[in-house]
Amino acid sequence: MAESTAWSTNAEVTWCPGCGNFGILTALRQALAAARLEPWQVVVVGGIGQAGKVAQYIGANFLHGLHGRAIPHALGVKLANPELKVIAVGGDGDMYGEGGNHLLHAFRRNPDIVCLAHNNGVYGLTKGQAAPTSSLGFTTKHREAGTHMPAFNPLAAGLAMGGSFIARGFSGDTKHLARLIGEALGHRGFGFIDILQPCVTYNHVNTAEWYRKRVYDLEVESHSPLDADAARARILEWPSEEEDVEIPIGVFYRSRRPAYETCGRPGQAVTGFAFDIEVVKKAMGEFR
Amino acid sequence: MTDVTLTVAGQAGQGIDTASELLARALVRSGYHTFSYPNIMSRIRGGHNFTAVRVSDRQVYSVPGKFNALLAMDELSVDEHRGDMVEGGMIIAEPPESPSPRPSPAGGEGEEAGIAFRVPMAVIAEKHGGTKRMANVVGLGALLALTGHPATGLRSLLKERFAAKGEEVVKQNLGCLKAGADYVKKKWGGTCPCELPKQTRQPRRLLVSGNHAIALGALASGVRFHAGYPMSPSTPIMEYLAAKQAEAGLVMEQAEDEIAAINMVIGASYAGARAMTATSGGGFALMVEGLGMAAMAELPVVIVIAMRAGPATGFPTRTEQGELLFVTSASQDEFPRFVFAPGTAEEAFYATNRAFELAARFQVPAIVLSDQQLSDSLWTVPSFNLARVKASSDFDELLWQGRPANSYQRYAFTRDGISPRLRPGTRGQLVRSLGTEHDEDGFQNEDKAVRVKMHGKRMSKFEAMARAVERPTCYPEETAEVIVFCFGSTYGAAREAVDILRAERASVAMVHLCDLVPFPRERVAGLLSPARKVITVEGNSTGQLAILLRRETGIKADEQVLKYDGRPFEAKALAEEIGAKCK
Ligand SMILES: Cc1ncc(C[n+]2csc(CCOP(=O)(O)OP(=O)(O)O)c2C)c(N)n1
Ligand code: SF4
Ligand SMILES: [Mg+2]
Repeated sequence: MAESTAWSTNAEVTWCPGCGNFGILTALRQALAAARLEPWQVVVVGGIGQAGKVAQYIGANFLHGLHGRAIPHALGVKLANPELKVIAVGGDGDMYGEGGNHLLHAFRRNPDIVCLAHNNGVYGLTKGQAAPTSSLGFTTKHREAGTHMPAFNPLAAGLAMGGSFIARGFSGDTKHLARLIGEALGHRGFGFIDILQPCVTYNHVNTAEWYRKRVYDLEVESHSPLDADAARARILEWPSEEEDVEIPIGVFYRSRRPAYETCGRPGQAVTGFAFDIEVVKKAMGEFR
Repeated sequence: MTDVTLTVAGQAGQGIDTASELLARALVRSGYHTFSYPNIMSRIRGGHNFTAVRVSDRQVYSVPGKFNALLAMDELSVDEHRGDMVEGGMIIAEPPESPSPRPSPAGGEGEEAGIAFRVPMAVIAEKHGGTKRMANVVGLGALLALTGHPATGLRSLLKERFAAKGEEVVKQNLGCLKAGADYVKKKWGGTCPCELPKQTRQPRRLLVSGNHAIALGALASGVRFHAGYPMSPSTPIMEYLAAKQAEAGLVMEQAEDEIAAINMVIGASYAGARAMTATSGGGFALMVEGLGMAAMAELPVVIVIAMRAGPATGFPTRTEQGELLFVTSASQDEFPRFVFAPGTAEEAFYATNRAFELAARFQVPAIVLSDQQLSDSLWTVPSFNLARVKASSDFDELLWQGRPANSYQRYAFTRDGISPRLRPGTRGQLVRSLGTEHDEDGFQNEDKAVRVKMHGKRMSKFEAMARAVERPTCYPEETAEVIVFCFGSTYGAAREAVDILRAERASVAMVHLCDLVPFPRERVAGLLSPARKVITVEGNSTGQLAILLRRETGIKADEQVLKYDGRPFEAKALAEEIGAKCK
C-alpha cells in the first residue's frame, strides 16, 4: 500500500501560511493512503483557484483544467475509463458559482466520482470577492454594503437533485475529514463533500475559531444518513442568518443508486484505438 | 439528360420529410442521382415546409431552380409555389373546396404555369390506410405514376421501413401507394409531363445527409466518445451516435450545456478516448474556452460546427457561412488548430476522418466546419471507400514498459514538438495534463524561459500540420482566366455555375478550399495569381474568405459574390452574377 508521503509532489505549495487548505490536503493524502489505491490508478481533476491547486499537490495523475469545469472534466474521464478512481476538487467559486450547473447535474447523474468543494466563503485566488457561500451581508474591501443574497446551501441542492452521498467536513478536523473522504472513496456514486475551510487572508467572518465553536459531529448525535427527512432537517440548520447557530458535519444523507457510468454504457474503458470495420460497413449499408 | 425537381410541400407534421426522403431513396436505388434540400421553418407543427428533390442521371450538387413537379399536402403550398413551377409542371394536390378548374391539354386542370392533378389523398388514405396521416404515401404513389417511373423500388422501401411495425402497417402503406397510382392512371391515363424513365444501371450508392456523412466519418475514425447539447443544424450527429452506442462501443453523453460538452470531451480525450462534439455557432461560442484548454493541454478533440445564420439565435434552420473568421481564430492567445470546410457529403466523410487522424497525430483541436445546407441536405454519394480511411493508434504503451517509475513527461521537448502520449492508468507512470503554462513534467511553471520554449513547442507543430493538409480542389482544371474561389458548401453551386458559364464559352474554373487551416498559402497563391480575375463566392456579408485570402497570401479578390439571406446559392443565379463580374 502506498504511504501518505507517496501522495505528495515536488510542486511548491503556494497557499498562505495558516490556510485551511493545508488541512484538506493532509486529510486527502491520508484517505488515499488508507484506500489501498496506487497513484497511477487515481486521477485528480482540479478547478482553478486556491482549492484547485490540490491537483498538483497530490502525487497522482491529474487534469488541472478550467475555472468551474472540474466536474465535466472528471465526468469525461470517468465515462471514458470507469476503472480510474476520479476525484474532482475545486473552490466554492468553481463548484457553486462558475460550475454550479454541472454540480446540479452531477447529483442527478451520480457518477462514481468524489467531489471535494473547498468552502472558504470567498474567492481566494482573485483576492477576496464574495462567493456563493458568503453569508448575507458579507463585506469585501470594495463592497462595504455587503452581499444582498443569502448563502447558497449546496447540501440542500444535492438532496433536492437526488444526490446519493451528501456530506460536510471541516478542514480543522483532519481526522474526521480523512474518514469522510475515505467513505466517499468507498461510495459507488457521486461522493460529495462540502468542506468548511477558513481563509485567513480574506474571510474574517468564518474563521477557524468561529467554526470550531459551532461545528458538531452528526454521528455523535446518532443521525441516520438513510433517513431523508432527518437529513433535510439537519441540512437546513446551516447556512442560517442566526448568530448562535450550530453547524453539523458528517454524512447527512446516503442512498444506493446505480453509478452513472454503468447505466446503458459499454461498461468498459473506451480509451485507446479500436474499431470494428464491420460495424462501419453495416452502418454505411443502412444508408442504401 | 435528365435534371428534374420533384418537390414535396406542406405543413410541419404532414410527413414532408418522410415522403421526400422515401422518394429520393427509391430513385437513388433505381440508379438516379439526387440532391434534396429541406426548406424548413423552426417549428414542429404547422407553417410551411418543403423539400425539393433534384433528380438527375448525372451527379448533382446544389439546390434546384424551378420545380417540375410539386406534391402539395395543403392548399397553402399550391399558392406558395405556383410561381416556382416550370411551364407545364405538374401539381398534385387535394381537390380544392370550391372547384373551378379549367381543363388543360395534358389532361389535368390548368393552374397558371403548372397543371393541377387534384387527388383526394386524405380520403384515399383513410380508405386504404385507415388514417389521413398516410396521405403523403398516396401522394407519392400518384407522383410516381405520373412520372412513369416503376413503383417497385418504393414498394420495397415501404416494406423495409415499416416491417418493424407489423404486417398490417406495411399492407396499409402499400395499399395507399397503389391507390394513389391507380387514381391518377384511371383519371388521366398515364400522361407524363415529367418523365423519369428506368435507369439501365443501378450502382451501389448511398443517400446520406451531410450530418450523417460526418457521423459515419467519425465512426470510421474510431470515435469512442461524443458529448453534445442539441442545436440545429448539428443535432442529427449526436442523435445518430447515441443510437450507435452499443453497436460501436462508444459513449454518447447529452451534456447539460455546451460548456459541459466540450469539457467532457477534453476529459475523455485526456483519458485516451477519441472524442468529439458537434454544435452550431452559438454552442461553439460557449465552447471557446474549452478549445483553448484542449490546445494548451495538447489534447486532441474534434469539434463539428454546423453554421446557421446568426448572430445569437439567428435563423435556426437556415444556412450561412458567417463564422469562418470566428472559428479560424477563436480563443485566447495563439495555438495551432485544423479547420476543414468540406463542400459535399462525400468530402465531409473523408474530412472528418482527417480531422480525427490529424488531431491525434499533432495533439491539437480540429474543427469540421459545416453549415445547414451541407448538414441537412440529402446527398447521393458513392459508397465510402474504407480503404481510403486512415485509422492509426494514438498510444504506444510498449514504449513505457520497463521504464523507471514516474519517469513519464507529458510535455517532453522533442524535435517535432510532439510528446508521446500515455493514458492515465498506466502502471507506474503518472500523466499530468493542464491548462496552466507548465514544464515538461506537467507542473505549473511561470518561468519566462520555460514559457517561451513551451509556447514555441506548441506553435512549432504548425509547419508540419501545413504539410499534412490536402490541396484545394480545382474544377474542371487548374487554370482559367477567371477563378471562382470558395469554401464549404458553396462548392456545389459554384461548380455548376462554372459548368453553365463554360458552356457559354467563358474561361472560368473553380478553386475550392476544404482544408482551410493551416491555410495552404503557396498552393492557393500558385493557383490564383495567374488568373486575370479572382472572384470569391461565400455566404456572408463581409467577404470573410476574401479577408482570409488577403491576410494569408496578399492576394486581393477582384470581385466578390456575397449572400446572407439564409438561403443556399442557386447555380443559375450564381452563374449570372459571376458572368456579369467576369467582364
Ligand atoms: C473563466 C474564468 N473566469 C474567471 C477566472 C478568474 N478566477 C480564478 S480563480 C477564481 C475564483 C476562485 O474562487 P474559488 O473557486 O472559491 O477558489 P478559492 O481560490 O477560493 O479556493 C476566479 C474568479 C478564471 N480563471 N476563469
Ligand atoms: S487567500 Fe485564503 S484560501 Fe487562498 S491560500 Fe490564502 S488563506 Fe488560503
Ligand atoms: Mg473559495
